[in-house]
Amino acid sequence: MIQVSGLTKRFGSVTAVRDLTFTVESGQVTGFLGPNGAGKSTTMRCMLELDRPDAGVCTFDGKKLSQYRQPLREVGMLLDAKAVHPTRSARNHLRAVAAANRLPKARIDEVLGLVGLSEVAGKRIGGFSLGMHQRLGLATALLGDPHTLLFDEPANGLDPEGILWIRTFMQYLASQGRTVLVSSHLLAEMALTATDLVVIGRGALISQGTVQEFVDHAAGTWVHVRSPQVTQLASLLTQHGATVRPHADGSIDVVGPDAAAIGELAAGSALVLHELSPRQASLEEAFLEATKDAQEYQTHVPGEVPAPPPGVPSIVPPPPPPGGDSWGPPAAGGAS
Amino acid sequence: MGPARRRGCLVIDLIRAEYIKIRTVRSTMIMLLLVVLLSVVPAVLIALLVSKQNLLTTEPRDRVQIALIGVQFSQVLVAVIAALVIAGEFRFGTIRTTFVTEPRRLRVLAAKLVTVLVLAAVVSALMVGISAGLTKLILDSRGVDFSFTAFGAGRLLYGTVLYSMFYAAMGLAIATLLRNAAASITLVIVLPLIVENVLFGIFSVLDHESWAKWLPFTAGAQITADTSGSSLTERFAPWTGYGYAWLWAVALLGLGAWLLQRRDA
Repeated sequence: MIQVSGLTKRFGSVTAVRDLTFTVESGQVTGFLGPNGAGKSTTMRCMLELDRPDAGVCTFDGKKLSQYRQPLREVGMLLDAKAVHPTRSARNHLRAVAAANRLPKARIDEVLGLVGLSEVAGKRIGGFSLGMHQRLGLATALLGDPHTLLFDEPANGLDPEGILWIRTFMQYLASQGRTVLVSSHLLAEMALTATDLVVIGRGALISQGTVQEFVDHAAGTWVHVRSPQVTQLASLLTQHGATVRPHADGSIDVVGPDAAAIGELAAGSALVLHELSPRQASLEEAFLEATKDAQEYQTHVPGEVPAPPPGVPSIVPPPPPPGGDSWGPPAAGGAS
Repeated sequence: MGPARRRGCLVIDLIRAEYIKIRTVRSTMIMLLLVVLLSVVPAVLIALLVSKQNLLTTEPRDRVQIALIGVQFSQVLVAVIAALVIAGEFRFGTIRTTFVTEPRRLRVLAAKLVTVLVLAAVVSALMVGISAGLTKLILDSRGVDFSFTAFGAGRLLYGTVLYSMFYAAMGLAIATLLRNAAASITLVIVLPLIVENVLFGIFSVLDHESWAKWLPFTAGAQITADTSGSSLTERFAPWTGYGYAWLWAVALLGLGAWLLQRRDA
């Protein structure tokens, strides 16, 4: 479990992270979400004691990173996959990291196999593709078989196969009981990967909870209603305290009562319903709503800001296709 | 070895990691190869090509000095490697992995210091041995006396090794302060070879030549200097100068260590 409490980090007069407190539970993937510039990377660097926070502390399973004698056994991190020496081979890179924490040598080939880099282990990293860099970064993070894993935008720049692979891998790691924190500015990606969300904007916490709670709370739900007697229905609903948003095609969105309540109300007045469907804001809408005051660089579109498009179906992106290609899911049992 | 003993992570493990890092990068290996060539080739060429007549006019100590010209010149490359031991990590971003592996940064710096000191000592001792040994073989065969025990020759031999260690420590200290590879390398090369010479020239013009003895590299180099027949007002005695030079190295390393802990990585 990760506990961050009261974390504050200033760069000169700019406060990058402001009194940030959250916890990350083990056994699931937690998304660390925020717009670009929200302070995600700074927070992660402070957590790893790479940056000195002005206030606050981060503990991993109760202890600060520097209190562990072999930190890699507790925390694995992938901040920047390109942070490797290009003329070193993948295996030698891992050898140096393993030696510093006195990790068993056998573990090097183990993690290389786990991420599918065994065949290029002796090759210079400089010739690696971005996807291979990410795999090597993951191998480095897993070297100490740690309880906690921190990933900073691991999907950045990857092709869809690579994104799927890394997502599957993170979920696999969490299923082994590890604590997995993944930062991203892409909500749709996090919805597929994470169970919990820590959302920040401008360095401050916006919300913490499950993905579902975040969507419910931040953007809410409404009911889409069609009726041949829509005018009567709308006034009836308004009398009962509901908010009604009419559509051009004659249907209405009702905010307030749930579908059952609307149905009963309509039945009580003998009004005919043709459609009665609960709707939910998309993750993107929820995210934009939650962070709209916290975007570092606000874009001011002249004129009206468009409301969430009505009738957009509840958007949780489609589930990933099953693996089995070259980016196949990790072999079971390898990392424990 | 029991599990309890295996768990600890010591500075010796960090040193082992540093050696792996040095050995597994192409640039450092090329530079070490250059060190060998630059050390040995001049010594052999001089011993072979300089006329016997000219050689016989030199003092026995100077013959050892000639044999070590290449070694002393190639020390700059060892100091550059020492600088890259930390500046290279900042350049490629691997310093973050290193600092997560060992968040106590003083230990990281200590491991790097031990690493570059041992590297400098071993490389320099080998080069001194090989260059002087080959020179002796060649000169002996040409009938020119070459003695390791000539007056002052002993200090010249081990002093060369000691100076290389000091230079490497300065390289590491400079790079720890600057964190930038290009700037560190430039300074490591330019400080002893150009800056101190320019300052010496300025001091001469000002009629204060003796000030030059306070320059760190000038002082450190006294460990290999020929002190016979020179006054000690203009410069330090060998060990005094060398000890004084290390005060600079320790001060810069201390400042570097303090900044390393304070700065964001």
